[in-house]
Amino acid sequence: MTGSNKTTYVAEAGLVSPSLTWETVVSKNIGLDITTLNQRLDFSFDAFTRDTKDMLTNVTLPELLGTTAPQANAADLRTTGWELSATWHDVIGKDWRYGINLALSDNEAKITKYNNPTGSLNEFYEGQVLGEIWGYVTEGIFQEDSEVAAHADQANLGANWRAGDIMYKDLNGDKKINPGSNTLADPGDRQIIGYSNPHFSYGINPDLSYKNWTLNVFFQGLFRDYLPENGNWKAFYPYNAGHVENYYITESWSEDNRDAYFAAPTIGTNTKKNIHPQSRYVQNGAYIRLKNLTLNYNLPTGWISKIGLSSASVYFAGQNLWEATKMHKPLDPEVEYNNNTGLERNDLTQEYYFQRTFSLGVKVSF
Amino acid sequence: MKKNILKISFIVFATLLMVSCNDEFLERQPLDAIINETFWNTENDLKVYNNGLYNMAKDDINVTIMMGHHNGFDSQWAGYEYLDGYSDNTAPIEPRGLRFATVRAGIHQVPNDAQDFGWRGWNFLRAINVGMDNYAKAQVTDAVRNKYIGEARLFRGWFYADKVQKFGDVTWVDHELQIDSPELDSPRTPRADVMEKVLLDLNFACDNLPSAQKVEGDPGRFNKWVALAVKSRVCLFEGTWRKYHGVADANKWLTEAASAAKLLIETGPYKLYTSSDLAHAYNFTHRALDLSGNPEVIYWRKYATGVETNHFQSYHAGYVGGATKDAVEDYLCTDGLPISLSPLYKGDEVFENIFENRDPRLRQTILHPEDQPYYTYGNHPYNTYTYPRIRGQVGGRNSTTGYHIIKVYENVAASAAYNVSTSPAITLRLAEAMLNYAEAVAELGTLTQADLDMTVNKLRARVGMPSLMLNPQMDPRYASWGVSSNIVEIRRERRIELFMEGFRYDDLRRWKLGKKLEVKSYGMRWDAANQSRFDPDKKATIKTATLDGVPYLDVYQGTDYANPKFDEAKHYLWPIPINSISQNPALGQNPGWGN
Repeated sequence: MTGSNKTTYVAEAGLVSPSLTWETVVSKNIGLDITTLNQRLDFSFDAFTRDTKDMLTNVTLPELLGTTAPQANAADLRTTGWELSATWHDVIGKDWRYGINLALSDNEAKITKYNNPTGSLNEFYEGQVLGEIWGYVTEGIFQEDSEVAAHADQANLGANWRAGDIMYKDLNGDKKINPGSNTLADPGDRQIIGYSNPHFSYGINPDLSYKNWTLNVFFQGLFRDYLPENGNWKAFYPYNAGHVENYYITESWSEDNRDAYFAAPTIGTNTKKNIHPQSRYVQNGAYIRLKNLTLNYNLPTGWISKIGLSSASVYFAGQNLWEATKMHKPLDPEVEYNNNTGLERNDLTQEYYFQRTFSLGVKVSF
Repeated sequence: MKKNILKISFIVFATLLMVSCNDEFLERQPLDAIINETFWNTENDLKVYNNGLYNMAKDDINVTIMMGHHNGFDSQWAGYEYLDGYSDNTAPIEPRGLRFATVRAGIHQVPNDAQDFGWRGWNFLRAINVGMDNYAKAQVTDAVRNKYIGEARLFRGWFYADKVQKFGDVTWVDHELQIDSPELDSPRTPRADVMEKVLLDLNFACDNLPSAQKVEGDPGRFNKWVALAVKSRVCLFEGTWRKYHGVADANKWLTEAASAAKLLIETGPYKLYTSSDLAHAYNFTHRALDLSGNPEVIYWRKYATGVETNHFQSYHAGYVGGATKDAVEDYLCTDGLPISLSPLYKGDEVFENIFENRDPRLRQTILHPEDQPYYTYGNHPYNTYTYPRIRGQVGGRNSTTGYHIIKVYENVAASAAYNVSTSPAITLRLAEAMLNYAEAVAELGTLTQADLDMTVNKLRARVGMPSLMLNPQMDPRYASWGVSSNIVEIRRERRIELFMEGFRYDDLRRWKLGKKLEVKSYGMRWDAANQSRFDPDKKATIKTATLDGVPYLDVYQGTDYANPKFDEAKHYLWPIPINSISQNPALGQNPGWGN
C-alpha cells in the first residue's frame, strides 16, 4: 500500500477435489437385553463395529502445493466398541428401597486405509489408533554435568545441556536423540507414550430411600492419558507463561531438590528443550468424580395438607463434591477436554475450573 | 374423461422421468462471486489480481522478499531492522529477539515445521503461478499484458532468489500445481537451474515494466527501476556466493549485477538524499515518517491510520538490544583510515571519544550522550536519565551493549500508543544499488576510480567523509580475508551505510565469512570508571569479559548464546523442516543437518 487507502484486490481460487463422493458407513452390532430375578435386574449389552469407508478427511500434501489440499475421501476408519448397562433395584421391608445403575462403555477407532506411502507421522497412517500420543521417553534428569557428556547427544533438541536438564532415552541406540525423519519407519527416539482416547467411561448411580428420605448419588469417570501442551503461554510447565506458580519453585530441579518432577528452570519461553513431548509428563487422566448428590425429605402429607399444600420437600444438593485423580495439580481431568470440540485441550491459564456447588432448598406445590 | 386425464398425466410424468437434464445445465457459474473461469478479461482484472500479490507480499513472516514492519504485535520482530540480529551487528537479548540470537550463535536446529522467514510462502508462489496460467486470457495488448506478467515474474524471481539464498536447491514450480502433480514428490531443483530461471524472470521484468517512476492514482506498483535494483541485489548475491563457495560462472552473475546497477544509477530517476545538515543527512531518511518525495527511495511501504499500522518504533528501540563493539569499531576515522591505522582515533576509554574524528554516520547510527535532546531519546527531558544505559538499569531506554541505535529512532512513534504508528518501511534505496555496483566491479577486477566516485564516494560526500581512492592501505584486521583492500573497504562501506537494514547476515554468508560470527557480541568498555560513571548503583545485568586486559560488556555470557559457533560445513544454509521431508523424502536435507 502506498496510497492512503487500501487497494482493492482479488485472491486466487483454492483447489477443489475432482473426485468427491459420499461416505459409506456400515454398522454391525450385537446386543443382549435381560430382565431377570423377578424384574430386579435389568442388564443390557451391546457390541459394535462401525466401518466408515471413504471418510471425508483433510489431506496433508507437501506445502509446495501452495494451498490447503481439498478434502478427499481418503480414509477408512473402523470403530469397535461395546456398551454395558446394568440396573438393580429392590425393596427391603416396607420402608427401604434401593437401586443402583451402572453404565460402562469403551471404544477404539483405527485408520484402516489411508494413502501415506512415506509413513509420515504428520498425517494419518494405516493402523493408527486415534488418540495416540507420540513422544520421547524420559530417562531422568541429569544430576551432574559429567552425565551429559556420557549420555547420547541431545543437540537436536536444544543447546547447552547441563545438570538439571531432562535426559532423554536413546531408543534407537544411535547415540543421538532426535525425531528421526518423523516417519513410522524412522520415528527417531520417539514412540507411542500414551493414548488420549477415553477408555472405560463409566457412570455409577445408586439411590436409596427410606420412608420420606431419598438419597441420589452420581459418580462418573474414565481412563485415559493426557499430555499437557508445551506451546508458549501454556502454564502447566514451569516458566512457560508469563507468571509463576508456587509449584514451579518447589518442584523444579535444583541441587537441593534433585528428585524434582520438573527440570531446572531456564529463562525465556523459547527453549522447549526440557518440555518436548515425553513420557515423564504424560498424565494418568483416569478419574472418578462425585458429580451429583441429592438428599431429599418429603414432608409428611398429613402435616402439609392442613396448611393447604399438596406437597412439600426440603432438599440438599451438591455438584462436583469429590474427585480422585492422579493428574498433577492444577490439571483437572474434565476441564482439559471440556471445550467445544471435545478433542483439543484447553490451555491451563485460561480455563475455568468446575466449582463445588452446594444448595439447600425447599420445594412446595399447591 | 377422468380416465383420460389420468392417462395423460401418466404420460407426462413418464416423459419427465425419461428426460434427464444434461450436464451443462448442472454446471452453473455463481452469479454473486468472482470465479476463475470468467474473471480474466480486462486490464483492470489483471491489475486487481496482481494487487492480491502485493497484498500477500506484505506478510513479512511468510513472504520475506520485501520485508517491512509487520502489523501490530509481530512488529516486535518481523521487520527488516531486526534482521541484523542474525549477525555481528546487533545483540538482541529480549525473548522476541532470540530467534535471531539462536541463529547467530549457531544453535538452531532442524525444525519440525516451516519456520518464520523460512521454508514457506508457497501460497504466494501459487498465486503468482495462477496468474501466469491465466494472464493470456485477457483481451488486452501484449504491452499491457507484459506489464502485469512483469510484476508477477519479478515477484517470482525475487521469491525464488530468497529461497535459494537460504536453502540452496529449491523445487522450481512455474504453474499451478494439482494434488497429483509430480513436483510434490520430486527432488529439489539444483540451485544453478533455479537461478537461471530467476534471471529469466528478472530480465523479463526489467524489459517490460514501465520506466515511469510512478503513475498517478495507481501508487505502489513495480517499475523498471525496482526490477533493476532487485536484479542487482540477487545477482550480486549469486555471483559472490559462487565465487567464494567455489561454484562455476561467478563472473556471469557479477556482470549481470554490475550492468543492472549501472543502468539504474545512470539512467534512473533516483538520486541520493542530501542535505546541508551533514550531521543528519544520513539518518534523515531512516527516521522520516513520510518517504514520498525522497529522491533516494526506489520502493517503500506506506502505513496509514485505519488501514495498516505498526508498533515497530516502540518495540524496536527496546528489542534490538544495541550495536556491537565490532560494528562500532568498523567506522573509519575522518582521515579515511580505519581505527587500526589512523592517528586520529582517540580510543574508547572515555565513551564520547569513540565518536571523535569518526565517520559522521557513527553518530547518526549510535546515540551520542549529548544527542539525547535532539532525538528526545527515551521520551524524557535531558538529564532525567543519562546515556548510555545498560539492561537492568531502571528508567529511560536501556541497551545490551551501551551502543543505543538511533539510526531509525523517531520519538513520536517510539512513544505512541499500541499499534497506531505509521512508520514507513524502506524496501529498496539507491545507496544499496551503488554499493552493489561497486562490489560487483571490484569482484570482477575492473574497478576504476570513476566507479568509486559514482558510488562509494557519493555516499561519503553526503556525510562529509573523504573519498575512497583506489587501492587504499589494507586494514590489518582484514588482511587475512585474502581479498584486495578495495574489496575490504567496499565491504566496510556496505556494513556502515546499510547498517541494520538486514544485509549483514546474508553478506557474511555469501562472502563465506561465517567464522566472523564466532566473534562474541561485546558491548562498550565497562571498566571501573565507566561503571561508576554510568551505573553507580550497579544495576546492570550484563556481564563482562576481559579483552587485552580491558573489561567489555559480554552480552550473552551465562546464557545459551554465550559461545557462538559457525560450522563451515553446515551453517551457510538453513535446514529443511522434518515434516516437509517426511512427506516428500526426495527433498533431502541440506549438508550437515542430517541426523
